[in-house]
Amino acid sequence: MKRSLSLKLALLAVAAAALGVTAACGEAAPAVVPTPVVIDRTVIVEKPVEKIVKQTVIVEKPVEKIIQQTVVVEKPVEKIVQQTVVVIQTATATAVVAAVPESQKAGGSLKIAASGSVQSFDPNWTTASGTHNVTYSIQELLLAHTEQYALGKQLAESWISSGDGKTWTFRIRSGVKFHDGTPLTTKQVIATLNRQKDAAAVFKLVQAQFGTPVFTDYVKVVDDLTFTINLKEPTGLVPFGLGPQNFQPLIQSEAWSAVPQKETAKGDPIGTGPYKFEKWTPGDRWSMVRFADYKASPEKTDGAAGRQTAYLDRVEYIEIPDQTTRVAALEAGEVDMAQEFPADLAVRLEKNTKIQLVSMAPNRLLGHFNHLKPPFNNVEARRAFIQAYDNEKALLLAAGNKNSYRLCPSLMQCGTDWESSAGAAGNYYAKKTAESKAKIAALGMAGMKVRLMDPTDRQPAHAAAQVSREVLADIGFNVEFLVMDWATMVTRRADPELWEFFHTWSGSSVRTGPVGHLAFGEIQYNGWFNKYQDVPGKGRDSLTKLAKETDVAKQKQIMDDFQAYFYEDAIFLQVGEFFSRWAARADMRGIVGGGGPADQLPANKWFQKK
Amino acid sequence: MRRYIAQRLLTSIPVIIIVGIITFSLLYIAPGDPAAIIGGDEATPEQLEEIRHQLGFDKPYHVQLGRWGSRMIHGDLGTSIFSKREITMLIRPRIQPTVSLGIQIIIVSSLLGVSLGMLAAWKAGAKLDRALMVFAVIGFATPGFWLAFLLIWGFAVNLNWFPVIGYAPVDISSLGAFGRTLPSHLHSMFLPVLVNSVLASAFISRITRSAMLEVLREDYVRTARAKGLSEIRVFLRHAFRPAAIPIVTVIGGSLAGLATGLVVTERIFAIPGLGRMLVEAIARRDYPIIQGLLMLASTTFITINLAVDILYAYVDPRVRYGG
Repeated sequence: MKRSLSLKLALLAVAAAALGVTAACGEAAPAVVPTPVVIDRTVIVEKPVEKIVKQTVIVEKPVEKIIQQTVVVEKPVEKIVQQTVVVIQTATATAVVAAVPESQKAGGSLKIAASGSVQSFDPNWTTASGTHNVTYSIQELLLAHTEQYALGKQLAESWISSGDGKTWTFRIRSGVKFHDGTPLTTKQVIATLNRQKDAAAVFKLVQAQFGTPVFTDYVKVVDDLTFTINLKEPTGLVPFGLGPQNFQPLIQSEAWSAVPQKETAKGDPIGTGPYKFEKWTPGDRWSMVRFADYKASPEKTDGAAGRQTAYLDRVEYIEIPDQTTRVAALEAGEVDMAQEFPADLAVRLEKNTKIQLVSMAPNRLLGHFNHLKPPFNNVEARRAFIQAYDNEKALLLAAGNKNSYRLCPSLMQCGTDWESSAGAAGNYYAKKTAESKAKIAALGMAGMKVRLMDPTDRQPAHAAAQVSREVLADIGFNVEFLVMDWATMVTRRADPELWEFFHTWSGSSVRTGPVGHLAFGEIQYNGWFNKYQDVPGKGRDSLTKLAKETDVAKQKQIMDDFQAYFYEDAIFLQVGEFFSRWAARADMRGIVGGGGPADQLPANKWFQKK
Repeated sequence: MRRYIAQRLLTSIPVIIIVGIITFSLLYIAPGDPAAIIGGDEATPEQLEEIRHQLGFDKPYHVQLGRWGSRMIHGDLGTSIFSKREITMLIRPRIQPTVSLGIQIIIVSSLLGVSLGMLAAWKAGAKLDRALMVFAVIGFATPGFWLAFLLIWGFAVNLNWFPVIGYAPVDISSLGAFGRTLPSHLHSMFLPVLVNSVLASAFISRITRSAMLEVLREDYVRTARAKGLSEIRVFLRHAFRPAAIPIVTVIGGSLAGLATGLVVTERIFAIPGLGRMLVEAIARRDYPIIQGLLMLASTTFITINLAVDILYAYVDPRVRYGG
């Protein structure tokens, strides 16, 4: 018994000692020799209502890691709401890549702390990001996203449209092999597209609106490396139908493509990608190894498009569901990369010179009305709520700190060429509580019940729901606050009789392009859970115009016009954008940063040799 | 004794059937729809209906219950809605981490809790007793996740003595392999075992102390002391055995609870066990996995209770009902 007590006291003493040593360790971080590099600093100065100013500053400065900071710039005329400066190691990576021979980059293994579990390795069956994160390294698309989310070549070598725009001829690269040694031909391409024809959103839209109804007429084989897509009416959307979208048309083996799309294919995924699937331990980890016979694209690397190189011998994803543990495992050196975690943990890593911190592409925080039921089947009520909303408060709660969000009235991602403030004046972040309250009273809706769903296990939506509860009450509604988990909410929202308002968030709208944004999200006519009715029909007009328009400048104008209508008809609540982070060992190279499509993919990454 | 065991075994069967029906029915009426999770944000109501049809969720209650019951009788837990893999195949690799963690926690917390409880009872009213009971109260009130993160921060991130994650399985295929893999296994499990043992031992020590104090007031203990037996002999031989019944009950209850109750520990230390699997399945509404795990947990619970009852009969002859 005395021994037990001694043991206990010894443990307590060790714990106390650990605290002391910990504090000491925190102060004694090893010094890092700075490397002179160019920093690409993009300063975005936002004035959400009227005008958005962009500045690009190039500064030469020694830097070792990616940081994010807020800079206040005073301008005499315009009101500056918020600025987020993201300093990205773009030039560092480029400079070092140029200096190190290819042979010295090869080797090593990468352990990634994965945020979610993978249930299926079939990207044609699920839209789960966990599945896509892995299969992007194993399987390839015909066309992939460049760093700026334009379309670039991956398995496709070339494509050309006929003079009348009705026949599109695609040629795939020769000499490409699947991991089982089978050569890639149009057989596997057609089989994949056939499996995806009712699921891949843009591909489906192109066939439905412009293509021939029978699949075998719509997609035709010319030879082993050439196929055509045949239309009744011309459209510039054809290449987008073969690129990234909700269900990914990643080219699979014929055996997998024979499985109906509604069922997940079983067994190990086979593709033509730089990495070959190795092993999966359900609920724990999965791994892949370098594919020796990989035939890379001859095109220059640009995001997920062009040449992809597997420098690492082996990549292992370890499921670590707890975000604090993911960060701790990276700090302890047990993993080399940690996927998504929130702002408060990023603050902890900012001072750690052994770790580089990278921002992800922004997410958009949204709020959805039930367009079929009172009060929000009335556009005046919807507009009153939007105009009273405290966007900044909701974003701060969702993001965790002031450096991790930005007010953004634009339907398309802020900071890109698609950014727009059309229609936002007087609607976005207007905080007209008194006016809105008077409007609700005038409409005879004061005291009317609004059922607000709050998914407590999804932090961004949960945070925004707290603010919506206050704003709805402030303008005179009687709020019934329904607390539930995400799985319950996604079921409940399918029945318009059970709710009036809820929040979600979505990834960058640039990924899907304006057409994807209009056709498949919360804006589409009568197609999503909010049952948006598009009474004036302007949404449908814009979609049709966009689908036919191939000139980017004109597409931008159509999108701007649509956004003005979006605010006029108060389709949903655009709260703003918030950022998450991921992190990696400081000696990992090849990270472009800034939320590009290939940021967290293992291809093109390597470790600086000591 | 044999008759007693046979009776208890037979009464367990209807309990398992009732638990099965309740489990199925509760999940049937619970909100949430796996079709909505599979379909994702961009699925239309028509697509969701199609997925429900594929999964058989559009069938009436009694049809679904009948199909499930029939599969259970044949020992078929079904396949996961999401991964389409057999649940027995998914559960099998998860058993070792949870069972190993549970056994280690029970051994460490029992030794620690019983020792500290007896020490406190021996020095009842003294400073040592009060200090131990303060520790017990603190242990009782400390949130497991908080202690886990504190230990990770100190012992794993800063001192690097133990891993944050990286469950190392133990190979039980042969004695040699077991001996080789055991050290790395114990090393990888040290922090999770420590966290749970500290918390569980606090409760066991309080129960041990009060049970011992009650027995120490009995006449036969006074008689034992009066006839000149040493205090250790009185404690271990005359007092501990009668006091063991509530202690065995508490330890048995803890063991049953550990079957699925290590959710937080498994999540924080990224241990691929059954508790984590259950929580993830609930979040996705993967009904076959939830049902399979609940049936496994309830059967384990019933079996452990049976074992505890048999242990009672061994410890206390008065409990041998028909023996």
